[in-house]
Amino acid sequence: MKGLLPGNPDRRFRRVRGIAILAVVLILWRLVVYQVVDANQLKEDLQAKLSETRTLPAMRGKILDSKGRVLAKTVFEYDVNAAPDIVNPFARFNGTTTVEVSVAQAAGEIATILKIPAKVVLAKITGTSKYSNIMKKVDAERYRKLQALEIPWLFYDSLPRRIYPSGAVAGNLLGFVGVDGSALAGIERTMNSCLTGVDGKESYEKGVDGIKIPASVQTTQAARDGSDVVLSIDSDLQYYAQQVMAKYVRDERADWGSAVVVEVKTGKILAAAEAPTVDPNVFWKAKADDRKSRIFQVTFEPGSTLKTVAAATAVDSGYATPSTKVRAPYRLKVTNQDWIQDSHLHPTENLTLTGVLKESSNTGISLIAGKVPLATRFAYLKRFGLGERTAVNFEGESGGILGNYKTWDALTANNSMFGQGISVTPIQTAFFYQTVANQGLRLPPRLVLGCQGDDSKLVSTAVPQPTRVISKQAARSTVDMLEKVVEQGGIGRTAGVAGYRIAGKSGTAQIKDGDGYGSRYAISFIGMAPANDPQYVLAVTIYKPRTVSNSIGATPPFKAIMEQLLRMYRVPPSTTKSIKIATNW
Amino acid sequence: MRVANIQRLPNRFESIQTGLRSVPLSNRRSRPASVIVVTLLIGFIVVPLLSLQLNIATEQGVYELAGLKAQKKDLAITSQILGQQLDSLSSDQNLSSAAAQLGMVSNTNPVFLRIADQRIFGHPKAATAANATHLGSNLVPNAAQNKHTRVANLLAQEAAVKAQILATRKIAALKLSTETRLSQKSAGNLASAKRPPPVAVKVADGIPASPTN
Repeated sequence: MKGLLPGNPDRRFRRVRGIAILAVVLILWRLVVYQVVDANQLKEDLQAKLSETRTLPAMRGKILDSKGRVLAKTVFEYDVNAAPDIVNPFARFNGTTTVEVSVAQAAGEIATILKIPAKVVLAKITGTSKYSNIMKKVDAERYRKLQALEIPWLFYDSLPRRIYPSGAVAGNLLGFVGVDGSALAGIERTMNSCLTGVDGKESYEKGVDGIKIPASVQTTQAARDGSDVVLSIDSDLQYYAQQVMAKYVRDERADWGSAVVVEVKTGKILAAAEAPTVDPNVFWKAKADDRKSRIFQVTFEPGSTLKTVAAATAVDSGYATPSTKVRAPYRLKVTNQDWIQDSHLHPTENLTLTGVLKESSNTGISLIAGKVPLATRFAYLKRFGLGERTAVNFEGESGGILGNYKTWDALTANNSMFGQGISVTPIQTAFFYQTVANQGLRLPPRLVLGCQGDDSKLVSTAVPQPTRVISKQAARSTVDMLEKVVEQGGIGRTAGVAGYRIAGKSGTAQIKDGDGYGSRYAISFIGMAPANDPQYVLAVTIYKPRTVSNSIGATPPFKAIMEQLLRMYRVPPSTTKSIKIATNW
Repeated sequence: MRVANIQRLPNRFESIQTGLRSVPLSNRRSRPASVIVVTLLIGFIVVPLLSLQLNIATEQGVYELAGLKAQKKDLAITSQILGQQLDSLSSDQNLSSAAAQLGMVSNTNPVFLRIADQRIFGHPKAATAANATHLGSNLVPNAAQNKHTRVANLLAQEAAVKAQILATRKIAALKLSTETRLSQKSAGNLASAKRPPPVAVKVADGIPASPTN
């Protein structure tokens, strides 16, 4: 206490001043620590305690058809939950008076809307827990009705759900998304980067009433919705083609069937119909094989539809003309051990190349197209697109099986002219005919036209350059020959559409079964219309039909779809006639 | 060198000496302390009041904003419900099914008229069930379809409209016959008789139906 004696005031003052300065320095230091050194950490801690962070979900983009019709979109569904520990009777104002609603009555009202027994609801809302789910994925209509009940112990969680308004229309192409919103197949998966948006984030403080406190928003990142994918598909035509294929696959008790419609001058795929198909809304109900797109993923030996390629090759390379004559026997020896034969017994026929196509003669095409050197024929097959995936690059797409001609045996080298020993996908077969229909120019198939953002500007997908496969003249000659198939052919005639010039070719291909061929066939008919200036190609394939054993089973669906196609696209009936070409001599 | 305009500056001492003069003391009185106190008091009252007012306005704005957001959400739900209903009713499955129930068939003999040279393509032929392509019932499933066109309602509505048109025509014909008789009596000829103007009958949804049907 010596220092505090009255006799030493200066010293005392200095000490007090020193302590005060020290205190101020300490306070200042703490301020610096709070404001500068630990500022960020403290801010984060405070935010964590007081603020609420909410994700602003970005909506997944839509999938549209070529006319802007929505094939896939995202909507909200609701999980209906209750808090059993606070379930009690409550008051409800009915417009004039306030009435008390009992728990049993409320449960009954909920049950009526959700279409489940009242006792189930009652069981779920009874107890002491704080959470009980009554029903998941309730649609907006029922959610609205539940909200109107004004039940204070009901709570809702909104969840995005992908829906496909047209159901199974183009289901095999669209694919589907999982419960968590992740893309699992088809266009949904291959175009996921276009469709997916970026979630936003919002952090704020709220009062006890749950209302956001003004100016409390700490960070906001606006959600950016996904863009839309625009397809070349015409959903109306797609529906019709699927309906037709479903009917014929059912009637002919086939394994599956497909129909591809191509716009000749653009390469756009207007329809890619399959049966059986998948409704992406309930994709889990379909068999695994029916969920994929066989049009791009499944290969089969095409059979006689490939004679068109062989004939075009012979004409384009100068080895034949539509009138080139041949004596076509029923059987033809190819090697010392191997024979080939036609599908029906006949005496040796004097046919032209046109007649060979009309009669679908295996021996005839072998004798004519066989004059073309194998390396040249192989080069043409490659140019027609065999053995490589198309530009669509669909997930799991196959390029077919072509192999290398150098390793082909003599039988394969011969049989490849009428579609045996090599495999193709339905989309490839359609584009063989697109090439012929488009004056010899093969266009890359187009399924996805592009990605379209909020500004409605379509960012087109890259399109490879067209390939010149055969000359214009050779293509025209080939179309002329194919027209005779529909005009005069026994099966071809059944594919004709009254009033229109149609060109096409049938195919009845044996299906490999072990080392040999089984008793079932892949039947097809591929054609174009109008033959004088082809605008559309339609390729129909039915795999393993059980009620028919040749391509007569493929022409009725071809005709039905072609009729609809010509009507829908306002193609006027033909006013000219086909040129005269002899089929026999 | 120009010197003509050079003026003589006053001597510093001259200036100081001549500038000195007696200045009267300011008569201004210092502001009374009461004014300052009142001003401060007003300030202390008004500023918080204004602040309070501002706060109330902001709070109200927030509640209004919350209300509008709830309204927006509600409208979005309505839009979703209506959108899904529209999707269902306009789906190919629903339209083809309704068309079939109404007895509609597609015409397999399309006929086209080329305006440029007025040329007709194709041969007109009535579309009948016999020559139509029959595909049977819908074979393309759609689990998203939650609404269906009620064909029976459409037919009942059509019948009601037809009955209304028929009744309107009968009334119009009766009026015409009365007017004609009167006109014949007065003018002695039929030239002045006029056809009644067509009457637009409205169906239930407010869309006018043509009386010529």
